[in-house]
Amino acid sequence: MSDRHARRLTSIGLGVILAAGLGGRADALPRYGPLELAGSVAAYQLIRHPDIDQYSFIMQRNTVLLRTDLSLIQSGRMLDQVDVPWIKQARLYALYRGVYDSVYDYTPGFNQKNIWGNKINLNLSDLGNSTRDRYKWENRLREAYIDVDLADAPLNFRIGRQQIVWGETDNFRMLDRVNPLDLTWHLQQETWDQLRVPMWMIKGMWRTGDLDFIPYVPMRDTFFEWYWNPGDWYPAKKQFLPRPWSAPILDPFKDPSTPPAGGRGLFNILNNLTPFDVNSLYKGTKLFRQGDYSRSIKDNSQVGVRFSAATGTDFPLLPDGLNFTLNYFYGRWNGGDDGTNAAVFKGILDPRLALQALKRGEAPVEAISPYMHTIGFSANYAEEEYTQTVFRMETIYEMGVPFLDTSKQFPSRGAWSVLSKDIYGVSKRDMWKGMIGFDRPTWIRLINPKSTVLILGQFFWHRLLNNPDVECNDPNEGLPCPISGQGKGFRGQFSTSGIATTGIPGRGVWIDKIRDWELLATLTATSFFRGGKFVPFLVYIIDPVNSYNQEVMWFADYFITNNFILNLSQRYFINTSTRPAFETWGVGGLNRGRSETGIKLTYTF
Amino acid sequence: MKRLAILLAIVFTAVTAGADVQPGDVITKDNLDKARALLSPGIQWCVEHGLIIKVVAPKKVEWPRAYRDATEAYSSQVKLSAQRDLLENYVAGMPFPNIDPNDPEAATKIMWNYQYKPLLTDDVLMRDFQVPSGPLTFTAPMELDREFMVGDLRRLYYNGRLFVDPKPELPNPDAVRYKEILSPLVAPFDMKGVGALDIRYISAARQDDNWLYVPAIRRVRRMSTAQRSDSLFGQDTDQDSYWGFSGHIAWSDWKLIGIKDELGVLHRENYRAQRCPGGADFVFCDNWEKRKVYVVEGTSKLPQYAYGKRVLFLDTEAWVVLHSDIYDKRGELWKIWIEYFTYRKQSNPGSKIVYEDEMGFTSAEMIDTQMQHATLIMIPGPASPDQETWYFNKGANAVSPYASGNVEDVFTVPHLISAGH
Repeated sequence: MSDRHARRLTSIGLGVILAAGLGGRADALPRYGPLELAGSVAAYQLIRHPDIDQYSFIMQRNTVLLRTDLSLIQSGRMLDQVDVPWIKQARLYALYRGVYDSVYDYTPGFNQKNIWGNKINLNLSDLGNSTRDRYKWENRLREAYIDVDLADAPLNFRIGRQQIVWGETDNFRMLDRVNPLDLTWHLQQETWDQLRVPMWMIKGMWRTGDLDFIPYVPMRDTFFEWYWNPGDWYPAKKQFLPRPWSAPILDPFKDPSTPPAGGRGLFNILNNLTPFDVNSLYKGTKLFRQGDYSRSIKDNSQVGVRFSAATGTDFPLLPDGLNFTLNYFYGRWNGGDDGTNAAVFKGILDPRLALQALKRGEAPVEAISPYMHTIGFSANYAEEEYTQTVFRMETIYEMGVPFLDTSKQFPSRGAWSVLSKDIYGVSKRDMWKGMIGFDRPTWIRLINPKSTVLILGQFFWHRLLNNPDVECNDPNEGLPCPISGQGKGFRGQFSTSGIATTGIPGRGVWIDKIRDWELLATLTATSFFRGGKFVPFLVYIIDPVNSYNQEVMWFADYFITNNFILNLSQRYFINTSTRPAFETWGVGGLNRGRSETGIKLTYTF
Repeated sequence: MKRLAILLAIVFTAVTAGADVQPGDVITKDNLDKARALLSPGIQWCVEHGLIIKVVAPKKVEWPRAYRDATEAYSSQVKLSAQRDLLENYVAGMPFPNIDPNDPEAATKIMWNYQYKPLLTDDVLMRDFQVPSGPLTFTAPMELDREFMVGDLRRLYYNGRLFVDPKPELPNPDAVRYKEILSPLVAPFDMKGVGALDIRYISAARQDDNWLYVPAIRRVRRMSTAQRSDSLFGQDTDQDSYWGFSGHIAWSDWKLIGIKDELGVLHRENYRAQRCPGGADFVFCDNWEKRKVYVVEGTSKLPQYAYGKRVLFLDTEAWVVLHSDIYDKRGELWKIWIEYFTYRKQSNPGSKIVYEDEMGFTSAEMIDTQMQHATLIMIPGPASPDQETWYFNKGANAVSPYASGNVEDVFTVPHLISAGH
């Protein structure tokens, strides 16, 4: 699409928002017989202010959402014309999203720093046209599926491109793991129905009702739910600088910048040291996209199943009305969109295979997304008598999470020694993750005499089992091992040997330590004011493990009319130290310098 | 003694003669005194702010025959439990058809009768209704803060059933009184798809269970129901105020203030409730009739309840709340709930469903007199293309695009999940 056409589209979109949105009465149901149509048009601006006197326009994202619901079969008749056997009800659902982010056209200048605190000296204008076109447009039928209820069995299916969300957490990834996240345009700082990547899947539910067959263990409202993704799966989408909301590093393979911030991408290093033209990863694998497998039913299927129930009267040891689920997943590793500092690639350390790769123009590094088993449990309970609070919890046990293992490296002498501090093999470990949380509607009449303030708290942990100690190759050298390099222990994604960042051995060396425990706490408050016209949120997040880095966020929806919404937001990322905080959750460490103000206008119809 | 009785009669007549209305009278703020004694303080406030009351002759509201028969068969065995929080030996029909105003338990028995009223016995489906809310200026039409369009609101009763098998009770191991599901909200787009499931139990010791499907997080969320006087989505309504009172009877203390004549709406002329013109469009204008009501005052026992008390004006024949006045903790009028019923066998002249008995089709509203704000509930709303928006006691035949009937399967968390987008 040409720039002129794109700008016209933006103007039309904004014009629609301004002109039509000021009306506001909901004069008609959005239903036309069996068909419902609805949607929204939004213009979303982000202004980054890393310091009090620094401002950068980093996003101007225009989004169109179009939704259709079609009641195809009702009471066994299609569109009230034809009898359909075996099916009681069927509904079609489709959601289209079109996006145009104009910053990739007019490329406002702004400077960013990487996680080690170095300016990257790269702007959006340094990206090629085709790259910017890829980033600025989205034109996608996001979701399209059919819901089918069978007539004579308590079974229903959802077949098509969809999102599947299990679990009890708000914006954290444990049981909510079926769809990977698109972390490229605002990291994880959006409602996840906008960030999850919908996939072609089949989901089924078997409603088994009240179960009393186990003596003294009555269960109510039980069901089994399962899904199968027959190959349409990708890992989490991530990007690198200079995209404003990316991982805070330049591309470690194709780094186009110059020292001290970069210029030492692996491909550059290999091209300088070898006679080969290295421009891809091992066997054509693509980081954050495709490992060494085909996207087929046999090679790329993902499955999951859960059982859900509520405790009935006189359930032993547990109160009545406690909801719980038991979950199992078998699928590929999502690539760490849950805050795990895991490996997304591994080194090919066999010198013979590594040489063959180089001859093919491939770096001896392979993007990986190994299969793993995960089991999980979740529960919620409304304790109304003493605390008037809903308590919820969720926990998973993951088997075989991959980590870069520095005990697996190229020999420190010989031809491959130059890669011995950059490329490592992978070892797998189990992890235990969990959350406990509460929701409490609370009267604070000084703030709001008419509505309660809903207070939500969550506490998360990640526990890595059998985490080896970190040591240097030279046992007499201390961390961060600037001379001999790390020789034992797992290596986080932001570790650097120094060559990668400064080009000078021993300088700019960091060890991103992978900890036994990672913890996070969140607190949110919201209420309704002015008859629901004004809805603010206040969010506080703290990571007590990584230098107490924090995020404070507020945002508010103001309904100018019933259909025209102004959303204002601010995010502040707070660090207690000037040293890099290699936190994994996406709070103040990862997002240092990314404090921002957001202004969003939305017209719904 | 005879002289005293005559004197009292004269005094009584004098009092009511000054406050009597006749069919054909139109009550406005200019002649409010004529009807003041027949109007609660809340309704008086409405008249003072523009409500126009057209008085018509009262019409009898008959009970459904099955309900009458059940009352005759079973009411004699019904007792209040020792804690007055439960009915013992209740099967169906009205628990206490003969109320003695001098009975110290009169108020509680009235409220239990209201709980098991003739109108709602087996199940109900209300479709396509609009819920606008906004501030009041009284000089111009109500501005709109928010307006929700509700696709389906369904309720399924587990006991006291009379029309749809199984009768009189569904299999009920958890002693459920009813389950209610609102799913989905159809508009506006930012709320589209929201659904809620609520379970009320027979036992007062067990709070309601409630779940909410939230489209933004794509999952069902467990909600606390302890704060029953909390406004819903910031509008003026709260969980306990629907139908006039929706809480569990045993969660409040009740006092019978008296029995009196009161104007109320039981035979609305317009199927789609018509808002009064101009600055009074926060109320509906239609036919009001003189009714005999129980005036019952309720004080919640729940902690941190927002309201000081609510005064219900409960029709002695139809056993529905005509309106209620809600007071704050200082004893000042805060909110007014008004029901606008129309009892008929067909919801509207074009309706395909003709009931054997007259059913009560209603619209309602909540007015916040202190914040000068109102929320209207219009069933059907003016935007609904479909005339057929009420289904009483239709069981599996209460079908809509969103659910396959008022059957147990629909009133479940799995249904909320599978209906969620």
